[in-house]
Amino acid sequence: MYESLIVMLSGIIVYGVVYQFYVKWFDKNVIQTDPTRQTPAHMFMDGVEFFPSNRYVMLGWHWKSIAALGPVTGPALAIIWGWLPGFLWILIGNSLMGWLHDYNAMVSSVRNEGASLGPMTYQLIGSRARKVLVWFLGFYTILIFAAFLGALAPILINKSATTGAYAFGGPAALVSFFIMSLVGIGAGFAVFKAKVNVLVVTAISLALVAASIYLVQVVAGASINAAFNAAIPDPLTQQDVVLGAMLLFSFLGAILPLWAFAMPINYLGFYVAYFVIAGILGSSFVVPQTFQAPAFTTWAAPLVLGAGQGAFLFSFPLWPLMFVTIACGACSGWHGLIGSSLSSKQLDNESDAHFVGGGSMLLEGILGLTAVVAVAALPTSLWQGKIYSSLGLYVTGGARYLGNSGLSSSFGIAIMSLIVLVLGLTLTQLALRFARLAISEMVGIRAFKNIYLTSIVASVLTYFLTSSRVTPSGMWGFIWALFGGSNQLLAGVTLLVTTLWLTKLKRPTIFTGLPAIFMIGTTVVALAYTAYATFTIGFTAAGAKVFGTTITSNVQIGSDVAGVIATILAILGLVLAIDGFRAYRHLRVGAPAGPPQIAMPQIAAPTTVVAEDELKVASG
Amino acid sequence: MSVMRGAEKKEGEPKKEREIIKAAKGVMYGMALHGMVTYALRLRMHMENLFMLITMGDMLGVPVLPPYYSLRLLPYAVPYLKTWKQTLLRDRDITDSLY
Repeated sequence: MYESLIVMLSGIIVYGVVYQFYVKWFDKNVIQTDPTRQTPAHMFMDGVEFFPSNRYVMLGWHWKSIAALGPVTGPALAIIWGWLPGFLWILIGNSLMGWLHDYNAMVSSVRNEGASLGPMTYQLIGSRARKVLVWFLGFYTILIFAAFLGALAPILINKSATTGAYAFGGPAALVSFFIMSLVGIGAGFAVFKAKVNVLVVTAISLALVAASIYLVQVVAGASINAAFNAAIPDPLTQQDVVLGAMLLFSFLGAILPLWAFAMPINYLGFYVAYFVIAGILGSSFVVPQTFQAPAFTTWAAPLVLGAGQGAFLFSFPLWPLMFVTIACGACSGWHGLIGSSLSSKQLDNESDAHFVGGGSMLLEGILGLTAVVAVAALPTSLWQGKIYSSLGLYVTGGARYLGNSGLSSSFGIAIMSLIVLVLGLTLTQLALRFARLAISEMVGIRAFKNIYLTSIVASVLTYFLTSSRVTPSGMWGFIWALFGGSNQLLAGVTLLVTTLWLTKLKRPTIFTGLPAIFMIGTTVVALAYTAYATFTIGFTAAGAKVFGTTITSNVQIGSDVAGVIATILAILGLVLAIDGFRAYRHLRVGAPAGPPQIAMPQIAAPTTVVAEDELKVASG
Repeated sequence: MSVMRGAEKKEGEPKKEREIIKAAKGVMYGMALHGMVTYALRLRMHMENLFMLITMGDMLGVPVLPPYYSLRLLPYAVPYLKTWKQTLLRDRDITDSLY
C-alpha cells in the first residue's frame, strides 16, 4: 500500500544521504577540490564558451541537458522484470556509479583546461582510442535517434484493442507538436531578428501553444485522428507516415541554424514539458498509489516479438539487459559528454562541480523513480505477455497522476503524448546534428562532409532500425537495449578515463575503477547478446525453432542492421577496454601513457569590457 | 541574550529567503534560458571572428581588405585581440561540438 510514496521518499532520503556524505566526502578527500584554484571559466574567459556562471544556473542548465526521454522510457520497459529490480538499480546504481560518473567527467575536465572526452581519451589512452571513440559516438548517436523515434511512433499510431480508437494522443498529438514548433520558429525570429523582449515573446507564445493544445487535441483531436485513419487505413503505412514526419522534423533541426529552428522550439517545449513533469512528481507524493505490478517476475523475462499469428518470444535476461535498459536514471554516458564538453567550461570554482555534476545526476534519479511509480501503478494487463509501448505506459501512468489534480483522462493522455514528443524530438534533432559530424569524421571521405548526405545516411539507417516493414514489431526492445548498451558503454569508458586520470594523480582509483569494470563488462556482454539475438531473428528462416518457439516471421533486414551495429559496438568496447587497461598499467609504474603531449599555449585571461558585459548577460 | 538571538534570527530569515529565491531564479534561468544565451553569444563570436578576419587578414596571409581600411578598422579590433587569438589557437574536438 502507498508503494509510490515509499519509493519516492526512499529515493529522496537515500540520495540526500549519498549527497551529504559520499559526494561531499569524495569531493573533499579524493579529488581534493580547491575553491581558490582557477577554473577554465576564469583562465580562458572569452564570454562565449568560457565564462563563470552561478552554480544554481549551472545546476538548472545541466539537469535540463541530461534529462530527456531516457530516464522515463527505460524504467517502463524494465517493468517486465517487475518494479523492484528497476527501482533498486536506479537507487543503488546512481548512488554508487551514476553521480560519480557525471561528477568525475566534469571535474577531470575542469582540471585539464576544459578538455572534453575526446582529448582526454587521446591524452590518457592514445590516438587509437580516440579514433575508436569517434566511431563509437557515430553509432551511438544513430542509436539514440532510432531508439527515440521507435519509442515515439506507437504513441501516434497504436490503437486500443477493445475500442479500435487511438490508444494515446494519435496523429493529433503530432499535429499539436508541429503547431507548437511553428509558434517556436516565430518566437525565434521575434527574439533573434526582430529583437522583441524575451518575456513578451514567451508569454504570447505560451498562450498560443496552450490554445493550440486545447483546440487541436481536445476539441478537434477525435476528428483529426478519424480523418487520418480514414485516409491511411493500413497500419504499416500509418507508421511510415509518422516516422517520415518525425525524420523530416529531425532532419530540418539538424541542417537549419540552431537559432532559427531547434533552439526556440526547445525553449517553448521546456515550459510545457517540465511543468507537467513537476505536476506528476508532486502528485506522486500528494495522492500515493498502490502498485499493481509484481515486485519481481523472473530472471529471464520473455520479450514478445512479431504480431498476430507470427508472434514469438525471445529471452530478455535481467543481467545484463536490465542494466542497459535503464540508463539515464542510474548511469549514462550522455551526461559525461555534456559535463566534460560544456558545463566544465562555465564552472565558477572547483567546489561547484559536486553540486552541479553530482546534484544533477541524483535529481535525474528522482525523475527515473517517477517513471517507476507511474508504470508500476498500472494494471499488469497493459504490458504482461504482449507487445506494449513503454512510452505509452508512461503516458497512461502520468495521465493517471495528472488526473488526481482534476484533469480529465482524455486531456491527461493528450498532454502527456505531447510532452513525450517534445522530450523525444528535441533530442533527436541534436542527435542527428551530432551524428552527421561523427559520420563525417568516421568515414573521412570528402563527400561525407556534405551535411545533407550524412543526415540522409543517418536517417535511412534509423528507418531500418525502426520500421515494422523491415523489423518484427516488438523489435524496439532490442533497439532500446542497443542504445542503452552503447550509452552505458560510453559511461564505462568515461569512468575508465577518469580512473586513469586519478591514477596519474596518485589518488584512490577503486571508487571509479570498480564501476568502470562493471559497466564495461556488463555492456559488452549486453551488446554481444543483442547481436546474437538480432542476428538470430534476422537470419532464422520462418519455421525454425528458437528457444523452443517457432519463428514465423521472414528474414528481416532491420534485425541484421541492428546485429551488425551491436557487433561493431561490442568490438569497439573491447578495444577501448584493452587499450585502457594497458594505459592503466603504464600509469601505475609511472610511465607516461598516450601519445607525446604538446602543451596548450597559455594566454592571459582577457579582461576587456566586452567579456565582462557578456558575463553579466550570461549569468542573468 | 534571548532578545538578541531573536533579533539575529529575524535578520537572518529574510536573508535566507532571499538566498532561496535567488537559487530558484538561478535554476529556472538555467533550465529555460542559459542555453539560448550561450548560443546567442556564440553566434556573435562567429560574427566577430569574421570581422577580425577581414581586419587582420594580412596577418593570416589573406589580404581581404586594402591596408588603408584595415588600419581604419584596427581600433575596433584591438579589444578583441586576446579573445580572438585564444579562439583560434584552441584545439577543438568533435566532442566539443555537441551544441
